[in-house]
Amino acid sequence: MALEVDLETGKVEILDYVGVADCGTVFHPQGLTQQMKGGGVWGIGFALFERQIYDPQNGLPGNTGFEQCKSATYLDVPSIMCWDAVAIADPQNPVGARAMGEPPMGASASAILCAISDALGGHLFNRTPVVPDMIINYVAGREQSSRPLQIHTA
Amino acid sequence: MPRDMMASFELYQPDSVDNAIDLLGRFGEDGWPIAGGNDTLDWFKDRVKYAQYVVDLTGIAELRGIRETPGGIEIGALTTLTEIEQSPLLQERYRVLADAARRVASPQIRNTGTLGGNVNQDTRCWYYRYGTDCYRAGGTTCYADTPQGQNREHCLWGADRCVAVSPSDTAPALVALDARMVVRNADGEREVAAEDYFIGPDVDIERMTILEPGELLTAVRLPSEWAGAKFYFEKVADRNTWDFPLVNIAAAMFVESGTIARIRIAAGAVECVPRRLTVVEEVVTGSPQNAETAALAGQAAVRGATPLNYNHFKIPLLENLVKRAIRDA
Ligand SMILES: Cc1cc2nc3c(=O)[nH]c(=O)nc-3n(C[C@H](O)[C@H](O)[C@H](O)COP(=O)(O)OP(=O)(O)OC[C@H]3O[C@@H](n4cnc5c(N)ncnc54)[C@H](O)[C@@H]3O)c2cc1C
Repeated sequence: MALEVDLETGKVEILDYVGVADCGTVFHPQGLTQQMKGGGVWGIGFALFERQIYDPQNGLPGNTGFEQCKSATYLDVPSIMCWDAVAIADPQNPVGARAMGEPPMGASASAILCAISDALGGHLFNRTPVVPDMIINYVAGREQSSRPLQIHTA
Repeated sequence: MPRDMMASFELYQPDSVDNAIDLLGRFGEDGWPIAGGNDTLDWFKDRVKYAQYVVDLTGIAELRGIRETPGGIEIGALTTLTEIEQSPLLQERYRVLADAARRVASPQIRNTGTLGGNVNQDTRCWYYRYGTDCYRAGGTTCYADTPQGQNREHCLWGADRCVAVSPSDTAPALVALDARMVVRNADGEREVAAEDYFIGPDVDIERMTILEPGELLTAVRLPSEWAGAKFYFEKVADRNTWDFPLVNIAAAMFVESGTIARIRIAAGAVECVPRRLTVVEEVVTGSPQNAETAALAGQAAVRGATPLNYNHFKIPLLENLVKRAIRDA
């Protein structure tokens, strides 16, 4: 994952994406391509866009439609996304296969978060998604608006 | 609450502005003009707002098109955002408006969304859109301006019981161009400066423009005074398309041998109206167009901003956008 962070607007632009799957024997390269790219796009959404908005005082959810859920659009993802597979058969599985649905999402999300941290000299936000206001506040030396996550332990 | 099912209404399809105004005059508060419907149908489908009589403007040919006039250019209120974005005339003389239109929503919405609808659209405060009984909806509470209110998208200036902002991308461009809004009612036509067309909650908490029931915006006139200026438009939103501005900026300026001779600059999504940054205009007029002037302009722009819990990032963001507008135009 290669990306650029605009320090004046807090916008992140993904320049390059390569996903490599340790998915055992490859049976269906086309299906695998779709998983790698589609999962990669969801990962971009996790890392950069998809916020849960909730008003705790009034018990109101803010995400009531697609428009507020903000999954990534064509203009938010790199125009070319590459993938490959390690293609080493899994010895534990009779046909050498491994599950392949979710790994690209988490992997692409973490790669983005690592790349943002790298771009900001190692700063870690410790929450996702990393949205423009967080980057702007960090660069401007301002406190973040969101408080550390509160866990309900009762 | 049932969503995505509209309550039925009576639909009227006039073929002239006179007929439309006649109908709207008759229906008063119960009438609702509809153009592309991108904002209107959201309200209806969510069953948050309702009108008994809907007056469809799309059959009125005189409301369409981009024309040259002796004083500049006139854009019919029903002109689509795609037409504005692609108009060679606008790209050549008033690029800031074409650029602003290009950044609205998504291609599908721009194909049907009109300039009139874009400047008359209602605010996007999610509490208000949710159907809460907030001040703007006639109630006695603001849900966004509370200690736990999720007000990341709300205002830095002009809070008055309500903290919602103007969501339009074209509105700041029109203010920067000193556009004239042509309003018609049963008594005739009048022209209002774009800057005075939008109103805040201190003037009327339930409306965003001066339009009264029974009035239509028929056209927007762009004076030749700002044609061919140096322009700057930038919008920062979470996503690169299909997303409302966190802050946007529109500027028009004339630079003579490196010095800013004249400028108008306005920002959106920081106040309930597009905010004309007169203090920036004063600071930079007569100064060289360079990084130093830009930095001063940025600082001046944010003076007096009063942030809420989740939106103070808009202060550095606006500062940076003003800086870029002056530096990079
Ligand atoms: C998912 C989504 C994303 C969006 N993103 C953006 C964005 O990024 N930036 C942005 O600026 N907008 C955005 N919008 C808003 C949309 O662009 C505007 O609502 C659109 O331009 C409205 O035009 P319309 O013709 O469809 O409006 P309509 O829904 O037909 O009308 C909107 C309002 O204006 C009134 N009206 C329309 N024409 C006239 C007239 N001639 N005279 C008087 N009143 C009139 C109507 O009565 C109604 O109240 C978005 C909307 C959606 C649904």
